[in-house]
Amino acid sequence: MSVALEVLDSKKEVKFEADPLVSMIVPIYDITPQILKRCLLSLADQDYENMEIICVFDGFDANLKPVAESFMSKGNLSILEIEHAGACAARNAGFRHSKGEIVSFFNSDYIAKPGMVRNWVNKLKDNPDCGFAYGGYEMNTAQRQYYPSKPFSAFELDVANYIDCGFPLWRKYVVEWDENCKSLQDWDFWIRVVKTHNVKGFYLGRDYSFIAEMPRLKGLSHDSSTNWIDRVRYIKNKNHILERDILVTSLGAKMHGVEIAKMLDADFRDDTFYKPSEYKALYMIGFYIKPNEQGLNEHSRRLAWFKDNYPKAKRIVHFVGADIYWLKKFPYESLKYLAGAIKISCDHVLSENQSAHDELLEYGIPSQIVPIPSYTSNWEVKPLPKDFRVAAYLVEPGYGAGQSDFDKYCYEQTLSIIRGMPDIQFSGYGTSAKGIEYPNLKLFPFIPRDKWPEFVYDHSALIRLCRHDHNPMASNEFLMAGRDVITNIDTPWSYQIDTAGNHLINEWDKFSEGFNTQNWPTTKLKVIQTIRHIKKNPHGFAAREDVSKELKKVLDQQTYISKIRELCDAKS
Amino acid sequence: MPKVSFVLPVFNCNAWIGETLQSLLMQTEKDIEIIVIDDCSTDGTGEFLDEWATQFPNVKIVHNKENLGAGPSRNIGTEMASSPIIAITDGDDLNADQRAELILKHFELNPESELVTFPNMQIGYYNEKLEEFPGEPFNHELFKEKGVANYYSNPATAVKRDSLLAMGGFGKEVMTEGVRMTDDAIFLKNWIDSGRKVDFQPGAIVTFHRVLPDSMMSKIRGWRPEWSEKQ
Repeated sequence: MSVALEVLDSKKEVKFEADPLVSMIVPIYDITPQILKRCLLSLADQDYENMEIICVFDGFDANLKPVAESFMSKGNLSILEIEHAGACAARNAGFRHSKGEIVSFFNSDYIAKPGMVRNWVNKLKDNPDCGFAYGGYEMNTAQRQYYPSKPFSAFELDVANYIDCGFPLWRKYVVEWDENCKSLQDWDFWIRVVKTHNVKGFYLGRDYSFIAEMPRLKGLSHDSSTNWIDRVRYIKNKNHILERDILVTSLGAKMHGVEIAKMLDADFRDDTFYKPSEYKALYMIGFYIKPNEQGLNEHSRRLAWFKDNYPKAKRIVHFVGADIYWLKKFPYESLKYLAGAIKISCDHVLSENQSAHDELLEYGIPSQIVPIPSYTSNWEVKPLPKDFRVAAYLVEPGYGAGQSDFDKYCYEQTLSIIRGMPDIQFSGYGTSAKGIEYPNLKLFPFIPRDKWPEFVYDHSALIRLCRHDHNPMASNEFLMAGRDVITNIDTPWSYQIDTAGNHLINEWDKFSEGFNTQNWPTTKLKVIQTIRHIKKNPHGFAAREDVSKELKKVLDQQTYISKIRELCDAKS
Repeated sequence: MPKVSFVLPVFNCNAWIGETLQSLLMQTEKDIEIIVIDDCSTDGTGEFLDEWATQFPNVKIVHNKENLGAGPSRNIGTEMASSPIIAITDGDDLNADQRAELILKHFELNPESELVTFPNMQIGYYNEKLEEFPGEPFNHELFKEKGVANYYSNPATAVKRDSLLAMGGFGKEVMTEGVRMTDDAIFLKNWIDSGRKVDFQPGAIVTFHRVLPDSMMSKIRGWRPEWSEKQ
């Protein structure tokens, strides 16, 4: 009986919240009746009851009006007519007429996917810290291209728009559409939503909400590419966004690209919709391209794009992290083509340290050594935490979100170390730091950049096993914070674990077989012995201070910024 | 008096002993003792045991004065043990949480039984499954006729302490014609020769036996048919 009573009690607590009213505002101008019918049908078919559809005729249209009227019997649809003044004016008029708590400015040539509105409402309700929700959408073309959009970043919204006008927002965050805006009005709209109300957007993911027609010849965006630079400038000036002279981009290292752009006071873009621009330099962080059937053509093609789209800009490529790992996997012969393409297309090629430089040179790619500094500038040697605790980076190999496309961070090996040392407390951080239950392991799946220094200071050491890397940033940050680093990667001042008797020729970085597992018990033993040694014999404060000072000299932010700016200005 | 004594000899086992001990400390049956015999390790195993394992009152550490080998070390542990049942354990294996519980259940249901072996699984460096050995009842006739064991897993075996002592314990491994006869192979032969029986409990895997490429165990298994036929 008591069980049944509990069930009754829990039922009482369920709150029945009414679904909020959603206004779908559809501006209509010069489309075919079929397209309008298709749009309204997809909205009428939504499995969401509390919705109003407002058709705003941007000028009277005898062909289209009957189409809209035919839907009035099917649901909450109203018709509004204004004198022809453009889509923005129509949207504003529609909004004034609307009552919905949630509003979407849904174009008349869109087709809503089933369940779209329900999904939007759920996501907005579940994420009260977000003012709007947006995601990818599909194009109604033969190839059915789709635009995936990307996770929200206000910094990136200043550079280019990635949020379509059709996505929903709470009524309280709606801003007036700029009726004088010739194009990019959706960009302008979302910039003002974000800046005026200080809200962020919830990224619905790559799954598209609706299907859109390609831009029409008579539409607002049709001539936008011809005067692109002026139009972008108009939006930026209007919203007090400074025009920046360097564009940072990235193939495979977006997080780093964004931080570097912020450090250099540059724009960042990671998409490939290259539009005309007046950047004086294009700075590409990472050259992360894996071998595929196309061989090296892929590399050369990317470089050619940059050359074609930014003919006047200096083009700088910075090889980072595991980029060179993949170069190793290409047939040596074909690397000559890459070396040639780089020579033709790039003004400067940069590497992070001597070993990266030497390795690139082996493939015929000369480079300048420019170390990338930590994005945190004020590392200092703080006292070690009271309890000895080791940080470990946990990233699983695989193709899921947040996984690494190869076992870059020696996932199983790192876990094996943690299991083998029940006497040591570990903190696993990184995308795969979840679902593991070891008595000596705390998990930190995501550490925001501003909390990162605190995390570093909370640990005595970092263990970083890597298949291939040069100048790993986390290692340097731990060292600058006066912490110890145990790694198999050539890192000055760290405790070096050699995996096969010679750390410069990393035996783990074999071509085909993955790990050289033969050596693992020996390597594991070395790591375990090293960690216990560090625990018992921590370096003195002065020694740690020396290391930190030396490293901060090499990895100075100002030196780096002036070096990059100098390269951007230098005559080639 | 604890109900089961896990006796494990360790020699240069620093990379694995932590996991092994953890798997014993996590046994569902808490009334156990763990006796670790450090056979003069040179890789820090002894220091680790002294510094970490001593915090657990049911873990006992012995340091051999000289390197004796696995068999004699197991005998030292058996002598020391205060419970009537010895669970044979290796320093680099993992044990299922229920191992002690299942051993106790077996001897409770079969009071006349003296020794029981369970299914085991071979695992690799990263605890990945290599091969499962579900096992089968021990064929005593086959062993007596040909010296071949159809199934027996030493680190998945538990034995009554009195019987083990009466039989003289484990032997010291020997080399005959370039082939190593391990301490547990000698033990099994002596056990059967003394007229005793090997019981088998099917079902649950109790031991995850780590196979290391440079480990002698993975190259020559004393009770494996292919090895016995070479004899």
